Amino acid sequence: MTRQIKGPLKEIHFVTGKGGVGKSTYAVLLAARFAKQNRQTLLVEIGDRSFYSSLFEKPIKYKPTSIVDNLEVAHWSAHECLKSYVMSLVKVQAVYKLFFENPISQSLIQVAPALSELAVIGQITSSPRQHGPHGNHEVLVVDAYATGHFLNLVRSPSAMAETIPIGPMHDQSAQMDEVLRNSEMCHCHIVTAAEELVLTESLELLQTLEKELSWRPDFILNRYLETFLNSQDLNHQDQFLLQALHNKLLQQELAVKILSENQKQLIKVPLIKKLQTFQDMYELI
Amino acid sequence: MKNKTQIMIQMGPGGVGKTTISAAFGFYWAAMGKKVLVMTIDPSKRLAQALGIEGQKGVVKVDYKGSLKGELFAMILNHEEIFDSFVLKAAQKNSVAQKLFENKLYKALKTKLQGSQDFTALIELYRKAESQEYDIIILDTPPAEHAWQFLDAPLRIVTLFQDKVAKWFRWMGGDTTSIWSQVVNVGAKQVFKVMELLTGSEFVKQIADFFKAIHLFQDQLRDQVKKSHELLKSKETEFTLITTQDELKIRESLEYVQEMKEKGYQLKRVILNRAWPENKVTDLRLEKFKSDQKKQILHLIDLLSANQKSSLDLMKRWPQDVKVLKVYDTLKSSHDLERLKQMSEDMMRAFT
Repeated sequence: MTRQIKGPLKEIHFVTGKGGVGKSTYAVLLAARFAKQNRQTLLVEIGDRSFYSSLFEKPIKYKPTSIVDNLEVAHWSAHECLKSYVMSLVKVQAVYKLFFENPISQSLIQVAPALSELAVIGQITSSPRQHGPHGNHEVLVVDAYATGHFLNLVRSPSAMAETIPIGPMHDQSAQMDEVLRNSEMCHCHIVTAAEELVLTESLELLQTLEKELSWRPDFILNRYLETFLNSQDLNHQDQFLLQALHNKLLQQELAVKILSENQKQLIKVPLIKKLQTFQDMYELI
Repeated sequence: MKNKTQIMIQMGPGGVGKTTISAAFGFYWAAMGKKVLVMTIDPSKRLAQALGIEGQKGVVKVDYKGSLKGELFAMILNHEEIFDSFVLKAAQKNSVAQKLFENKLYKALKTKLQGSQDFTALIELYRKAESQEYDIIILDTPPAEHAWQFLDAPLRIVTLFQDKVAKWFRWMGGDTTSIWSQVVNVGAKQVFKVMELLTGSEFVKQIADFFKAIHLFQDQLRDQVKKSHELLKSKETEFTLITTQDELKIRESLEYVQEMKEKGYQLKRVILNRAWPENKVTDLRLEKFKSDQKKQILHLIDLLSANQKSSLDLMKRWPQDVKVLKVYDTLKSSHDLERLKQMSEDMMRAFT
């Protein structure tokens, strides 16, 4: 039984993948596409450090910054999410300051398993749950953590709900989990690269998400080399550059083969030269 | 008596091939006649199968058909087991440990607490070094959001259990009425209220129980981490930083080199894995290709090289005194152990 989703937010898109495969860039492309469809879009990064600050060349903080029409960007670190949630609960600045500057709370935040993950998921799902601070966006694109950490993130609500059988923490966690399991609301995009290790890990993540959350993630092969050449054309070369190119093509062929064996639909994002600035990305879409 | 065990720590951002490089290092030293142990966190299935450690508990001897002058061993670190055995040893009384094992928070903590993997890797490294069974131990550090988490996390776990904080939680677990009489600080009452509002009383109780149980051996915990850190800074220990040519990863690595220097760790070398060759396109001999193929080859190489340019520019900011080794992805053998061996030979050439 699924509860009726309230609030303006219609879709949450999580973008994940192993570090360095280009998931932040893909999240930008995705968000830009929604913005161009005239949907109020918020692009969110959730790590400790902000990558988008350097991409957009302005400080990206907890409060959304407008980039172009229909597109805002925010940086929701676990700490900021927890802070704003506690603030919304206690409402008195002094009490909230006392809480955060206290070594005991600092320890609680560190020791409580998944409390920071929970704070982030709580913030992401605050609009459909109508609990905690939330904005008026229709679409949320989350540039999420890398593979393993991402699993911890989306598992945190159900893990917490199981650990704590009663109380407000339990109830909120159970509701977050319910939002995550809503297939109309939540969508997942796994960005991967044509390298065997990365690909295997991405496939494992895909299967785990299918099993645990009944998600049907998109699979994106990034930096794809579009060519009529195949690796065999370049084999047995005594030239270093050709051998390196041969290996790249070989890995790519292997990747496509592994994916077709697993019957996975694939979105190919070609490697192009000019994809450095936000303007490049926005024009590409 | 044996020489002291040499320790090599392999660090770097996720997805750069740390585990593969660690295994290749293992081959390198085993081929040089050493008795080597490679400790790894979560190897890819294929690598684990190749080394023969998939699904195995404890140390396994790598069965390599070719010739190795020395011996190569490998193990996958099992964090839960290491954590439990540490608690059992430290608690001295079985009943105390048992009580902790039943605590839900402990169960979640030992695997999920940020840095608990770094902590267990460190205590297991210490244990194996202490045994003096190996000439060289190579540790492949846990994946982390920040590479230097490995150096910080264990210490942070210790400060977590510092007296002041632990005492407070223990009070909460005891008689609630006495808290208010004992805690002179009015603020603490407020903090407690917020905590309950946030998490509920059941959760706060779990935390209190946890701190009560862990209090009994926090001295050993602190002692252990202190000793391990001394080991990391000793002259027997050297660090290798592994990265790829990806711009973000190089940026991260640069910060990391700085951090290591400030903290006084011995960073021996940087390995640039899967490096793109610097050979000039103009030197390419493409006579045997058809013209459309030739055009395509040049186009692809141009595309791939352009992608590397910004990272190569970044590399210029690398400190002069840290040696950079490039490992090219140009291996031909498809057999996994053979590939590792070849890789180790490539690395050997770069060393000398």
